[in-house]
Amino acid sequence: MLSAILVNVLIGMGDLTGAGCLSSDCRGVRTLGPVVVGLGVIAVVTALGRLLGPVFVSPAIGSWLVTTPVDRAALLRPRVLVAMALVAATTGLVSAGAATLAGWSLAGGVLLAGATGLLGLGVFGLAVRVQGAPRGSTPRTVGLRGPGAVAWLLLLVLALGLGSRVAAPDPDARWYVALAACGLLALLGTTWAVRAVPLLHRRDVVRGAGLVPAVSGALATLDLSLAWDVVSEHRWRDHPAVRSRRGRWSGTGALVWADLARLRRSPGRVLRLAAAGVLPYAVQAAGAGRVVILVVALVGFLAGLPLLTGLRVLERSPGLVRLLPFTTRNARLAAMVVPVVGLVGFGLAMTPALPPGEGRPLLGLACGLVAAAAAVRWMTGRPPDYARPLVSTPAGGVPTNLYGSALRGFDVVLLGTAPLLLSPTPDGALVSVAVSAVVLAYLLGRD
Amino acid sequence: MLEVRGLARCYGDGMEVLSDIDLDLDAGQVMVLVGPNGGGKSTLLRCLTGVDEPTSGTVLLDQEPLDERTPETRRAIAAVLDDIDFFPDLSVVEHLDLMARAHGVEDPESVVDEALAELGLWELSGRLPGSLSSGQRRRLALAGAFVRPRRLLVLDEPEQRLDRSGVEWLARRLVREKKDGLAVLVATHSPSLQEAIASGKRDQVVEIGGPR
Repeated sequence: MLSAILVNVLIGMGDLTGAGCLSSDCRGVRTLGPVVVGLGVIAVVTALGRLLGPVFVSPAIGSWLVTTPVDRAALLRPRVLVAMALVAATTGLVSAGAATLAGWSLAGGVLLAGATGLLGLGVFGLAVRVQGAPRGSTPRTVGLRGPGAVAWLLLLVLALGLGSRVAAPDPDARWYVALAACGLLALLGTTWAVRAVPLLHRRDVVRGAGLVPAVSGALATLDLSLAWDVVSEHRWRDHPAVRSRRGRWSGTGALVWADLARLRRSPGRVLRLAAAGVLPYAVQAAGAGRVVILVVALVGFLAGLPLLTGLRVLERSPGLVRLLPFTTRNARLAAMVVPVVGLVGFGLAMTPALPPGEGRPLLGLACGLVAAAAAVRWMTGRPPDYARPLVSTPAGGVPTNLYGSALRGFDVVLLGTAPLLLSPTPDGALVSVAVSAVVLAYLLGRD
Repeated sequence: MLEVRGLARCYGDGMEVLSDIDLDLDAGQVMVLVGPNGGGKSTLLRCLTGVDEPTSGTVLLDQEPLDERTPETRRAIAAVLDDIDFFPDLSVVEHLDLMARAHGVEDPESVVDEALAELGLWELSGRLPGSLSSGQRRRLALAGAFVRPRRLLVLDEPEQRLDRSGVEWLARRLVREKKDGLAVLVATHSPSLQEAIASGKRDQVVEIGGPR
């Protein structure tokens, strides 16, 4: 019944969208949007799968895999096939939902769901095949990152205002050709996965095993920052050695330099932030008006989180801060310099996408600061405090600060963008800047 | 330099871990804390470095109440306790470089190079902490304390996870620290380390948490 209600709501919203979407740019978004969503889901699911394995077993199973003469393939193959079916179903369902919401026809929605589901199957199969070879060849990398890259390019098409040239989503013969091609990829992916399973080493299938219970534990308490720590440590464990660089500055400047060294070591953090900038432009091209302000702050907040790794480590490690000859406030301040400058730069780069009017650069600055304040709040979040009074729930005693953990950062985005949404003028921007400054000052100074 | 008077630490359920502790530690002196597991050695070190708050009593550093939040205290005390943590994306040499530069060490490169060589970390200098063994991580934590200026060195069971040659090196190094006029406060279960570093007339061996 719930599913039926959900489908009805989606169809109703899709009709509403269709009725209000009259410009050619908006029609372009309706056509490309569901495709972008479908490809985005494939990219996210593949990335999550690669993080865990995608084939993995629990530490308990991993411990007897070596010494027991079992057929590993017989043990692992059903798991892989179930995971692949789940990937295909998830991708297809989300794509179908997006297509319905965008007002696509039933045939178009079904075709898109089928195509993305099959494509997801193929890409996930490729991920299984390359599991034993983390540093894959170029074709493999293209295969794994292709869906995400295509989704980004489609967003770029919308951001450049070329959406008006995109035809309406009416299924024709080409759609069936595309569906057949995706089916072929799915067949290939499934074959690759089934054949790759017996060749996997134990080290490959237990590598991500520890991650699942650790992340599950963090998520059980809605401690997203802890889940971030776990994943971050896991990812860096894959890089045993790096090319070291000596520092340049002394005092608190040493911490600032360390952040710059991090960016040089993994420039992907900056590139991803820059690439995410295409989303606000695409939303602006669709005629979203003031909503772009919210999108800029949200995208900056989420894409900017990797810039704050240094701050996060200082926050979770009082022992490390004690070794530094500064107050905790000054150590935090130094670790904020690079991320805040980066996010303010991001906000300024989004200026052309913001609603037209006087003082637009100030709006960009304000959006960047809101994103920075939200990211700092997210990264400096405290774990649930079980010493506080607990709320009695069916799941047991729950600390009062647990539920707020899930909204951490998003609350600052809403608080900081509210003045801009109500009044996208220099005055509104100044109020927003003041709100962000107060939030940052509080986060800096608290014990 | 460090004066402790009437220090006590109780936990919420009334369990008394430390009671009425009096200690004095001066520059050029070594104090070794010994005692059984759970006797309160680590708790005492945590109280003395400001990480934990005593239930009662006073801790003075240079005649001033110790406040670990101040830069002066953090400059004076180099502590390696059991809460070791590192930046996951900075290499061994980058950690030491950061520590030395943050403390304004002149010629940090040579100081760091010397520490790397002395602690046998030279060949690991490009490695990230996540790829180090527990013993290598312990060496990195110790190196972090040695590349920076300090007046009081506080180590909690530093011999843990070190190999035999590592413990011998540590003993020699702590004796050198003492001769250089630094105060050294160490909790240990290693009789050989205790004998090696607390051999002077002014040195003290304090039993914490004996049979009650």
